[in-house]
This record gives sequence, structure tokens and C-alpha cells, in this order.
Amino acid sequence: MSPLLFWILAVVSVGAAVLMITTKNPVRSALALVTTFLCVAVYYITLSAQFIAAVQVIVYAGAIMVLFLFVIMLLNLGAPQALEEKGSLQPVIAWSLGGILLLTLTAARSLFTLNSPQAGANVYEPLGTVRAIGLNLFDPAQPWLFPFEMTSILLLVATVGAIIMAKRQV
Amino acid sequence: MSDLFNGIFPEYWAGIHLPSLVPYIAMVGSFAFVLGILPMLIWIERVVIALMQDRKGPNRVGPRGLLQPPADVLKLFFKEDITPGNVDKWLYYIAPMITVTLAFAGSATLATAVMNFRAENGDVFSLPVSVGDVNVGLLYILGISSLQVYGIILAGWSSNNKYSLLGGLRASAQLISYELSMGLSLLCVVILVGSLKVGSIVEAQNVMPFGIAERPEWWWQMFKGSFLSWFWIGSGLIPVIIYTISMIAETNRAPFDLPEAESELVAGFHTEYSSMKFAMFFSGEYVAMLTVSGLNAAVFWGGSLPPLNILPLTLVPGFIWFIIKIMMGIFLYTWLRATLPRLRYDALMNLGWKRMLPLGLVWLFILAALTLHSEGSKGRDTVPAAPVAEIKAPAVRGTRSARN
Amino acid sequence: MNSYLPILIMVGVSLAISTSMVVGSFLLGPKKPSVAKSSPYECGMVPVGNARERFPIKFYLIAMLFIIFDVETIFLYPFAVVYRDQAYAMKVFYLTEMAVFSAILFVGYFYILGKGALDWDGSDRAKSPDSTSAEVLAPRPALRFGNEKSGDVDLDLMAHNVSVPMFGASSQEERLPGRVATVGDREE
Repeated sequence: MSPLLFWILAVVSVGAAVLMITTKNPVRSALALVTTFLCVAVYYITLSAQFIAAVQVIVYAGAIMVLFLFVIMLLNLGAPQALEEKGSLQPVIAWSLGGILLLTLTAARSLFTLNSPQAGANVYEPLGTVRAIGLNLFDPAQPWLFPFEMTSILLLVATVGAIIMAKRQV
Repeated sequence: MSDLFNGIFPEYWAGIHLPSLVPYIAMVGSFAFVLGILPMLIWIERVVIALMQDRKGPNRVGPRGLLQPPADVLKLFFKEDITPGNVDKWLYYIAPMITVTLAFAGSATLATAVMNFRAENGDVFSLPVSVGDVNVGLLYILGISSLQVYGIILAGWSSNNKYSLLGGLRASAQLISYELSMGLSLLCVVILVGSLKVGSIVEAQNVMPFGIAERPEWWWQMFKGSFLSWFWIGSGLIPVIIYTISMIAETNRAPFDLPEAESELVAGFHTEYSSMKFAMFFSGEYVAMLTVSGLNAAVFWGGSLPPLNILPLTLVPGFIWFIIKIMMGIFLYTWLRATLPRLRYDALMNLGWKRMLPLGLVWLFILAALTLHSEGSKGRDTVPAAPVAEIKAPAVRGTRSARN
Repeated sequence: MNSYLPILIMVGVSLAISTSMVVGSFLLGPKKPSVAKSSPYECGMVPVGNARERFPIKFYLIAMLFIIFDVETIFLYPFAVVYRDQAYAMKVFYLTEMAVFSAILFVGYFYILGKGALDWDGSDRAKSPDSTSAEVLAPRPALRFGNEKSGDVDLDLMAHNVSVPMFGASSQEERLPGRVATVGDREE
């Protein structure tokens, strides 16, 4: 990844993430989260994980965030006043948890050196494509057959849950 | 010189590696085409509808009304840019930008033609002309089209207008519903080709139709890569029907133009937009029409292949065929708009969820079952199967020695 | 990675085009705001209440179901890509695997259908599709045409005996010079 691309991406993704938690308007906040997701998708591409990047865009940015927006609109959270809370412990807890996470990450960074993508690019190149993921996901020799089938059960449960929550009277 | 006549370019020209320039040529070409054809599309649509309705159509500005679209664009630029009170200013301005950006960027992975090069050692190799003929080409286009929801829903919500909100909601529900059947119809082709590269899909249509054997006579060769071997019939007609219906719904065009049903919702999600911002939604819609028609042309209608493999037709450059096929798609849009009344909303949702979604999925499995015995050529995608050992290789497990 | 760079550049150029469109229109157009212009457009009525109303839960449900089927479609992509180049036995295995996956999801799909979550025309119709048909099919009183002056008019007779001038039907107009046939004519 060229330094220029890195800096553009870093500024946009971190800026959007900060905007997402600081902005008062939930719809703008959701939009900032979408921007962050898209930046993460570009990061995945730079790591040669193309399929994951596509999934990031299609499922997270294109489907889940649409649901978020719908929920924001459904609950009519559009007005910033609706979300104001006073005397809550939430900011204190959030800041301390964030601090702990930052400490952990710094410690991990100083104790271990992560594989740099440049060094491992040749090894990981073919693993991120749709073909490689398909070959490994459906391979009977691999242990991922069962989790894959379980995903469908999970999705079935999600379907039933969605219906029961939305249509209680039926 | 004879190479150039045959459409074969040298690999190096004046020290420049030409194949690596192909994406940028494609990019410039696609922007030039889209920006050039965009005003004309509106003219074409008005003229065609006028012909179908037996009236004159645009005929005042310039010969045959040809200067009407540029005049309209100029007028829109100099109109007052009204920002109504109580709108969410940021989102109100960002929404048309999202629409236009995604519309222009959406065609990046389409393969518009094939360029031949002669390598240093005399071999001829061909490259698909595309901004990026990447491994996840189809997924890129689907991802971009799934993001199109935001332009519409944010425009609807930020406008502070009841019509806009209703239009935006309808549009987003419609878009996400038809995205599913669109993806399923494309999957039917993917299962036959085994690649998500649009270039490979076009190339896979350059074979004899219905799997019959190749013979050297010209009257037999004529059908190689002909209209009979394209995937509209190769995948069994149902995917192309599903795709065509969902591409019209995805671009909010008649008869699926519920989001801007003018008799109920004024102009739907862009009721409050004026001046160029209104034109941006308008142009975004037309560019999206070009993109989905281009995908239709590339995936189901042979892309840059001529309809018959005989001499006068093969001399025409591939991108001309591609453009002709795109324009046929645009004509179809116009034809449907002039012919069909608008659907009711429940009929629209029923069609998407109860007809096309199950039909697409069932047809996908039927195709998979039909191709059980045909063994494809290995390694079209040139990606080797990753050995098991490599999967287990450390991806995040950091070690001190990992840095080379 | 290198083949993705032009795509990224293309996205950037598209962003530049859209920004220049917004900025251009902002700079070029006149600015004469007024109260009427800046109020929401509701066909001339004065807007009542907040425009950002709550909306039916149906849309939320559709978005939820979309996520579920979107994830299924995403899983179909690796399957479709690798399916073609397999040997026969492997293909059977893949197909079975995917069929089981889809069958489980189809159970969910039929559950949704049965619950009527995909019906948009009211829950009564969803429960029994034929509930309105009796009402629709019930015999109705015969329609009567005409006004108090003319009395009842038989439309069938009219169609045969009286020529009504129509656009473009020039030959009929010539047969009735100067007069337009009306319903009352026949009774005089």
C-alpha cells in the first residue's frame, strides 16, 4: 500500500469513526459508520482479501446499515433531543473501557510484531479470492462443513425471530 | 503495420508498456462515453416515446430538437438552488452526491472490449478492456448498486417532506427486494462460467452454441460466439428474464417507478430538490441505467462479441457492439415506459419476493444439476486451490521472527 | 492489489464530478430565498406536523429478511465459482451441501409466507385470500343509464342505432351533417 493511499484511508476512516460517535444526529452517525465500513473494505482489498471486502460492502454497508437506518426512522430518532441523556454513567464506562482497549493494543503492538502484509503477500494472495474461499469452505477434508450448515440454522432462527418481533398478533 | 490492421497492438510502444495502460484507457473511455451520451439519452427517450405515441417530441431547439438536452443542462445550472428550511443540510447535499458518485463508479469492472497485444517473443495475447477486471467483478457491481439505497433514503429523510420520506422508503424497500433476484440471476451464469470476472464471462460466450463440436467450415464457424451461444439462451432464458425485470426495478424506472409516482407522491424522494441537485438524481438514474444495461449486455448478450462470426460483422470493433447492446437496453427501458402502466406496490413486492426470488433460486439448482456431468476446464481463473497447510499458516498470530 | 488501483481512482474521479456538480450549481444559480420557497412542498397546502413520521413496521421487516437472504446469496457465490471445475463426485457433494443449506433457509421462507409477512394488502386478506371474493362476486342491482328527462336508456340499442361522432371518424360525421346525435333524439 502506498503511503499516500494509506494516509488518505487512515484519515477518512478514523475521521468517520470519530464523527460517528460524536455527532448528535443518529442518521448522520449511521452515514459515518457506512463510510468507516467502506474504508475497512478498502483495507481488506489491500490485504488481498477480496471476497471479504465484497461481503463487507454488500452485507454490512448495503444491508445491515440499511436496517439500522430503518430502525432509526422507525423509532423516529431523527431529532437529536430524543437521544439526550443526563446523569448517566455511560460516558465514564465507555471512556475507561476505551482506555483499557488502547492500553491492550499498545502493549500487544510493543510485545509482538504482526506480520506485515507486504512480507506475507505472496502467501496470502490466493487465499482471499472467492475461488479459494469456496474450495476451502466446501472441501470435505476441511472442518468447515458443519459450521457452514449451522449458519443456515442461525439464519432460520433469525428469520423466525424477526417475524415474531414484528408481527406479534399473527 | 498489418498487425495494427488486424487489431493487434505492440506490447511496447516508445518504451511504454501498453497493456498496463488499458485500465486508464478504459476509464477515460467510459467517462467520455457516459458524459457524452448522458444528455443524448434524454433526447433519445423523448423522441422514441414521441414516436410510439404518435406525436412530434422535441423539435424546437436545434435541428430535430438535438440541442434541447444541452440547453436543459445549462438552464438547470443557472436555476436557483433552493434549500428549503428545516432540511438536514449535510445530508440534503450529500444525498445527490452519493447517487452520482456511485452511478459513475459502478461500471468500473465491466469489460467493454478485448484488446490484442503482440508480446516481445511474437505471441499474441488479449486483455479485456476494463478499468479493473478483478476477481470480484460482479460482486463489485452488486455492492455499488446495493449502496445506491443511501442516496435515495437520505434524500427522502433529509428533505423534511412527507412525500419525500414516503418515496424514499418505498424506493429503498424496492431496491433491496430486487437486489436479491438480481444477484440470483447473475449466479446462474456464474455457475456456468466459474468466475466472477466480467471479462471471463464474456470470453466464455465465445464458444460453439449448445456445446456442439467445432468444425472448420465458415458456415459452421459462423456460429462460434454467435447470438446462439450467448448466455441469454445458454442459461435457459429464465435468468435473463429475472435480470431484466430486476434491473428495471433497481433503477426505479417504469413500470416500477413507484418511488416517484407523480400521481401520488409529487416526485417522490427528490420533491424538494431543485436546480442541478435535481438533475444529479436524474443523471444518476440514467447512468445507472447504462451500467445495468451494460452488465446485461456483458453477461447475457455476449458483451463485445458480434452477433454472427462472419466477416463484415467481425471487422466492427468490440466496443461498438457493446455500445449497440447497451443502447438496445436503453430502448427497452423506453419502450416499457411508453407501454406499461405502473404497478401497485403490493404487486411489486409480490413479484420480487414471491415469484422471482424462489424462481431464481430453484433455477440455480436446476442449472447446477444439469451441469453435473460436464467437467469444466481447470484453472480458468488462474487461482490455484490453496493447499490445506497454507490455510493454517499464521495470519494474525504474531511472532518476533515473522519480520522476514 | 494493483488491479484495484484504477477502480479506486475511478471512484475518486466520480466523487470529484459529483462534488463539482453540487458546487457549480451552488455558485452559478441565483439566491433569492423567500418564505414560500423554503417551506416544504405539499401541493399548496400548509404542512401539518412533522414530516419525519414513524412508518409501518413492514419496511423494517423487509430489511430484516433482506439481510437474511443476502447472506444466503453471499454464500452461493463461492459455491457457484468453484462448482464448475469439479469432478462428478465432488459436484454431487457440493450440490447436496448447498441444497441442504438452501432447504433450511427455504423452511424459513415458507414460514414467512405462511405468516403473511410478505403480504402488503392488509392482514385480513393474508389469512384467507378468498375472504373478499364473496363480496365481490355477490349479485348487484343492474346499472341504469340516462337522466330524469330521458328515462332509462338501453345502451345496446344506442350502440347500434345512433352514430356518436368520434375523433377521426370522418365518414360518420359526414352522414350526420350539422347535428350531433344525442340520447334524447331517439325518443322524440
